[in-house]
Amino acid sequence: MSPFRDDELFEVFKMETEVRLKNMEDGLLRLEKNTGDHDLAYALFREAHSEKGAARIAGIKPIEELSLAIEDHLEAVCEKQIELDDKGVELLFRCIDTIRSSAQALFSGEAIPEGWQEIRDEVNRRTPNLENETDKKPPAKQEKKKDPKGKVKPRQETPEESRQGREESQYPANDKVAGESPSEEGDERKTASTRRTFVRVRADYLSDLLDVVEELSVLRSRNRKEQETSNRANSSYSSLLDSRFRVLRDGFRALRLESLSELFQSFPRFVRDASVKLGKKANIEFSGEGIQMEREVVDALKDPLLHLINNALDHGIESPEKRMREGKSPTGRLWLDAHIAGNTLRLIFGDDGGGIDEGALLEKGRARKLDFNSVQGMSPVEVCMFSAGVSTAKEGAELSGRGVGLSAVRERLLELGGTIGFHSHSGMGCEFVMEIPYRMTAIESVVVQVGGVLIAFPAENVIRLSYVDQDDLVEMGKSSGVDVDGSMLPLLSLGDVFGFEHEVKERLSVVSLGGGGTRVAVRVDSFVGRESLVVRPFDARLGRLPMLAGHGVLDDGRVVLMAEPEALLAHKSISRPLERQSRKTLEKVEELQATVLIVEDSITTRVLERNLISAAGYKVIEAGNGVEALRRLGSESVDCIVTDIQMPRMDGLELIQHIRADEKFKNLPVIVVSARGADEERKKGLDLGADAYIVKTDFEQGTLLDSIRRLI
Amino acid sequence: MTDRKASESWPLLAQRELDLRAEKVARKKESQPRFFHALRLKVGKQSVLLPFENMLQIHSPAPVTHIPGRMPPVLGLMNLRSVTVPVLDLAELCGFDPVPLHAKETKVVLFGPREQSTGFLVSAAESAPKVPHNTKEEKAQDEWKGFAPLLDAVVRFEGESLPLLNTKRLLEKTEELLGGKAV
Repeated sequence: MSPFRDDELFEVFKMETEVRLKNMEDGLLRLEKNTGDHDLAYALFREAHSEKGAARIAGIKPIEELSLAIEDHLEAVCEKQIELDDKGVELLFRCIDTIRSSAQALFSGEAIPEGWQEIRDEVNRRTPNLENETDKKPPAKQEKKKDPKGKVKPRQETPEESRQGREESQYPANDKVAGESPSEEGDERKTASTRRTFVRVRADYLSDLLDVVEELSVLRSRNRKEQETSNRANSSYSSLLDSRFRVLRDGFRALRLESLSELFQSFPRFVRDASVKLGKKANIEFSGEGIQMEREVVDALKDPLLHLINNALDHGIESPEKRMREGKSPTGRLWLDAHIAGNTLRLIFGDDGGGIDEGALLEKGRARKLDFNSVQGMSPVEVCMFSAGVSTAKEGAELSGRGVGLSAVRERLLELGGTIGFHSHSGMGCEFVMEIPYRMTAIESVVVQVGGVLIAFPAENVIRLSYVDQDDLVEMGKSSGVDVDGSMLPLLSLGDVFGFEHEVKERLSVVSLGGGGTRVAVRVDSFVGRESLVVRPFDARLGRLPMLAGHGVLDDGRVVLMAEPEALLAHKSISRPLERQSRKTLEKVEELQATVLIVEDSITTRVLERNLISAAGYKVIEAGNGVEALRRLGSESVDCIVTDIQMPRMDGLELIQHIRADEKFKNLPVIVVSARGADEERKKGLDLGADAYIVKTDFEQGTLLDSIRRLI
Repeated sequence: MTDRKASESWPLLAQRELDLRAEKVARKKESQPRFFHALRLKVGKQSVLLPFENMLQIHSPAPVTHIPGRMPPVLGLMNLRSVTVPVLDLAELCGFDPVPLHAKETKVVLFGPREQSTGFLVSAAESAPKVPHNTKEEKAQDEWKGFAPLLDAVVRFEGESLPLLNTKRLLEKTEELLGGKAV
């Protein structure tokens, strides 16, 4: 029988539990990569604590006790009584999974599955002072209890009192899981006003409504302009109307479109669990996750992508030992890049495993008497790859290998009107390229103007907007180059690319674009602003418009052409090879000979470091995290790395591990500049192979520059 | 006897049959509309008729965004009530001077199947007359040569001779021009 006495409590508990479990899972994934991060452990402890409280109020003992077990274990970690090891992480994941399955059973009106007590007891057995606790009465503990941040309780309590009586007031109310969890106050606001129920709505109705809202948006903008010119505007009323209208428009967009990040969010956990099961190590990285697509397309992509991830982990990624022997990082890399290309969403899924044995695959295909010419546009290897029953996997593969998966993946993509292809490099990995047509997508964009035409770039590809004097242009082969933040980038004239006439200006407006490890400076006439654009494909009668992905509409009704950064970055007029550069360029390059790569997620710190280092005469290039840094290392010559520790996607310690494991970079100087000054952090960084460790709090310009000079 | 009667009645029956057929044809003719609806548009200084079939809406022009690689009469893309459509200058398409985009009377006629519509920029939308079918004249007159590829007929209407555009050919030409083929 449901323990919920009223529907509202049920809905509130359900929503809170979903959010908390997601936060715990994400937090634990990050903690697993950096088990010494006690702040993160503490944030997780708080989530478990809140879940325990909610479960207690709702009267759900299994969830309460499982949450308590997580809380106790993390408390011991925070108090440094134990270190969180692989087994501990695994148990905590199992605990979270058990809470989830218990909650799901409860929400579906079913009985909570048996067996939760074993998980709880197993966690407790690994938690100091709880080793002997079972489902029966816990023994009294005699130590003084304090919260994991070190705050001693005012009076000594029995452990049971202490465990049961940890009140919210002991802990700062605004603590979050690494900045992702909403505050308690926020949760309360949300829960008080939201009843999560679902209705099915026809997608075309939503599309029509969205069209009307977009049209209203244009009318509002025109009306505002008219008011401004007739000087009748009531500014406070107008701005309120504007803000409410944006909420309405964004709300409608959210109804129709879903961000790819929603799709990707479950993959890190999936990769982690599957890797553990296979005795391998792997991470997955994303780009383009901010793209929003029609919900049904996003939903339909989940299964095919999970198939590909399974395959890559099972057959592509090698064991850590084998990877080490082959000079690779012990941790395999999977990546999922999304971008809009023409009227399709292009998804690239890749891994850095051993690649596909094409010879063996063809052999299998021949044995099955496949007709290699059966599918137009597909190579014989692709025909084998995507045919049912053809697999090179050895017997007993854990997750896949029955030769069904990839044919099902292709069928699913065909149903969506899409295509799939792949390329493999023996020993280097494999990439699958999927193209799925779309009807609308929303992209955060930077809008510029060229020859009176509005052009947008996806914001994630825009590195910098800057002004450059004509005199500062440098010859680079057939084209010009421009120095952007110490990096010499080829300059591409957007007017020339599209056949529009540039405005004549002394100072050029330049957009620096980046992607796939390359960068280019693009000349435009002016910057217009940043917009979240709903982008639609061009009318089919226009055919494929080179370098353009689709079109969007600004609030004032003007049509914007969405550029394809990947195509611009590969434009034929760009001269790249150094040997083709003029003497003037070579002199410039010599002046900026030593290149320092700054890896830092904080823009403020990055600017500070960049100004300091470039002022000292070094060429500076930048990356926002370890993943970006590795990409830049792969495409540019770097003499020294200055890196932060705490960063999203890949932190500094993992970056150092990757660098030191790579034969090409193992001697590259690495300087850590981190806010974390604890001796053990410093030791960890240096042990991993950092050449210097500078703490941000006592950061002095001289120290950093001295270290760079000493190491280069 | 019977045979004689039959032979006498045969012409009568045949006549009756013919009468019935004639009546049927006349009824059918009567049921057909004697008019067709058209939009009278001004392209440059010339008025033309465009049949109502496939006509969607008439708008004031919105800002136009040029399409790389496309030349006039393809003007570019226009957002008309949340639908972005390619727009062509109908005057240029018919061999006249371009229509001024920002003139007071300038309109965009949205035309074609809803899912793939086209805007035609015209100097003015004058009226929507009912045009009698029997007013179509021979089209091979020299003065309409400029319209030749798009001309369906010349209509004598309200004391004037007006070119009637052929919508099918107009859409075919549009497709050709949007695809980047030479005019």
